[in-house]
Amino acid sequence: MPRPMLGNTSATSSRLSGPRATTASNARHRVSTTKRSREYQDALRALDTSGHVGAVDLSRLVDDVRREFDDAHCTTPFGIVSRCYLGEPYEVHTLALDHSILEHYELGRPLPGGLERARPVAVSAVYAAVEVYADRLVCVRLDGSVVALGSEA
Amino acid sequence: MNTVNIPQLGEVARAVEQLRDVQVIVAQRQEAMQVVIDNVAATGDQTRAELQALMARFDHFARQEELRHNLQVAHTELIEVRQRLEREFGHFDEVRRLATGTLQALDAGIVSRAAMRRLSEELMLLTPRYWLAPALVGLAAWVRDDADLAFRALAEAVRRDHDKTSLFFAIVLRRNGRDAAAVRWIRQYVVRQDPARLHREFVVVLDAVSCGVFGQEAKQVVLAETARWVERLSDDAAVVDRQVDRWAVALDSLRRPIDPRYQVLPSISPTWPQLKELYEGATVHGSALELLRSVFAGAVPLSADLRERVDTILDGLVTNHDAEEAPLRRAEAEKQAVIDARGDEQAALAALRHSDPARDVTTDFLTMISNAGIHPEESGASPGTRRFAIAAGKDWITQAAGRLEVRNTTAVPQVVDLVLEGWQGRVDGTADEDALAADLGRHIDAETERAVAQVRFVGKPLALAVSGALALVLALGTALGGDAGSAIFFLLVAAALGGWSCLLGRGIPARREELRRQGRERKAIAVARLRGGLAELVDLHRDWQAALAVAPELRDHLAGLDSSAFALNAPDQRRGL
Repeated sequence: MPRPMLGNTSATSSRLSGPRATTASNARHRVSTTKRSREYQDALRALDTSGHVGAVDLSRLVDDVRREFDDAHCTTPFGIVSRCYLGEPYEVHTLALDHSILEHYELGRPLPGGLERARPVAVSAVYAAVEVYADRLVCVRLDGSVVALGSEA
Repeated sequence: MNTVNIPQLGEVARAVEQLRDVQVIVAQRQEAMQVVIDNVAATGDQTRAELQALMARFDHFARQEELRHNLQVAHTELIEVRQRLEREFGHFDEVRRLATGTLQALDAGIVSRAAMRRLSEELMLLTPRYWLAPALVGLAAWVRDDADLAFRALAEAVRRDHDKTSLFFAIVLRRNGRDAAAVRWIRQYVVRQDPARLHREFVVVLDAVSCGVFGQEAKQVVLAETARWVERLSDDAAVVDRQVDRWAVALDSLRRPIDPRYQVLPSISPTWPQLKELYEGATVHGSALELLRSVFAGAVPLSADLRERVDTILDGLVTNHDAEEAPLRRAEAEKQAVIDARGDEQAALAALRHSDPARDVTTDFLTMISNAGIHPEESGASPGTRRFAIAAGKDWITQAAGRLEVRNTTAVPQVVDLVLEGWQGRVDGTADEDALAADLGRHIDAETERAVAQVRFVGKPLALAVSGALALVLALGTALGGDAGSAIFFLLVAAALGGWSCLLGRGIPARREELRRQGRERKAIAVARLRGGLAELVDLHRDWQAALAVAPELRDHLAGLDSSAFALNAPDQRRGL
């Protein structure tokens, strides 16, 4: 069987495809279900206006987000989906924690790498954000409390 | 030159008259025929409807007969199962009664030790394999200070059922104030347990903790060990997920039906089933909050006397069914479920499956806590234990309610469809009531106008009028040609045809007016129904939001529960006593 040539794998599409892409230690599989901190919520809110945020600020916000999970010794989500308040035509934005990439998505444009399943919850005004893990979604309410949806979600 | 004489003209006029009469008769017969056809069609419809009703009644009858048969069979089989239980395990009851009987006789000091010994040894012979018999022989020997027999009996009881014997002696010793020995037994019992496979009798320990039967030290031993179990088991996301799922199912079964005042919206919106589901799904938070409040209302009925409390717990332990009885108990539960479901085996199966984990011989500790919270009767948990279990499982309940909330908020239909009077409309984020009503009005107006336009001067009246006109032209032609006779004849024909045409066309404006009046009425009713339906939609949305707004209150209420507050102190170890 011929060896695959360099660059012919779908690296871009698999970028967001699960825990293999995260930097979380394999030993820490526990998903944090404790109330999210004020700093974490502030960082999520700041991301929404990050159309104007520079690279340095973005990496600081991503660090704030990561710290939330590192401090609790829990696994880090591979992506966070939130409702976008930039206005039409944008609907949601995603933060891919493995590559610290923030992207805003228009209405109807599908989210990549398994993030799409978080969209119906993320667009609801009841939830501030949805954390996407390999086997579950965790919805963060506006007050920071969370709901972990089962693996079927 | 053609001449027409007067008698001939008279004959023609008579012939035309006769023709008219014949046509009137034909029209009447046609109408009569139409009535007959309509009658036949109506009879056909009625026959079909009656046949359908008959089929439905037959199906209903067959189903009732099946249910009746199932119910009868279940009753008979239940009696058989109970007889087998009585035959094979009935003698256990005597031993069980002897347990509390012995302890109470000891309190009163009115039964001779010899009688105790004789009775316990007799039962030992009568109940082979049952752990409680040697335990009672040991108890009687202990009372008599017969250490040798006590040790041998104890060894036999431990061999038969180590766990229950440990628990039995822990409780008996506690009852007699030998706290240090009781703690040793309970410690031995607890460390032997595998939190992933606990036997049903562990619920007795929970009962003892929640009712304050154990002394301070034994209570701490149990609470510390169970806290370690919870931590260990909670690391397994699948086990926790199972508890959350079970609570979600339990909470979802608390739905309240939608208010029957919603009448118009269901009749005009195909989206109604989703809206109903949405509202009813949101009511679980309010129902759960009410349930919690009722469970935690008032004080748990507990005796102030430690001995009475211990005896209740002891009764629980010795009457808690033993593993060898499990298959028969299971069969008993199945038959009972069929009887409860009035013979509906499917419903019985569903009900059994729902409460299944409470009947398993062994369960993990987390499932046991959920069982005590969800099915206190099946799992043998006292009201106090239920409070303790709910407080211990509050995080799962919170998560379960959260999942139901997420499911509910993401199920909001983006568009509500409306269908009435052949008109289709939709309510979305930008819908305006007046615009929808105006659109419906336009639709009905257009339909009315189409119906009015159907009532025209066409068909027979038009043909008669055209023929009349032709006859008039011919009359003019013949008159100009000097043929007065023909001219008069055609003039008469034209007059007859014209008259007849007028006769037929006379009712058209009235019919049109009637159609317009009906159209106006239909429009008024339809617009009123639309506005009523939209008003109900607004009400439903408000009710749904109100039902969902209870969710944070439920979370707060759950957060305020503390399981250690429901592990009562023993009556002899309260502060100030």
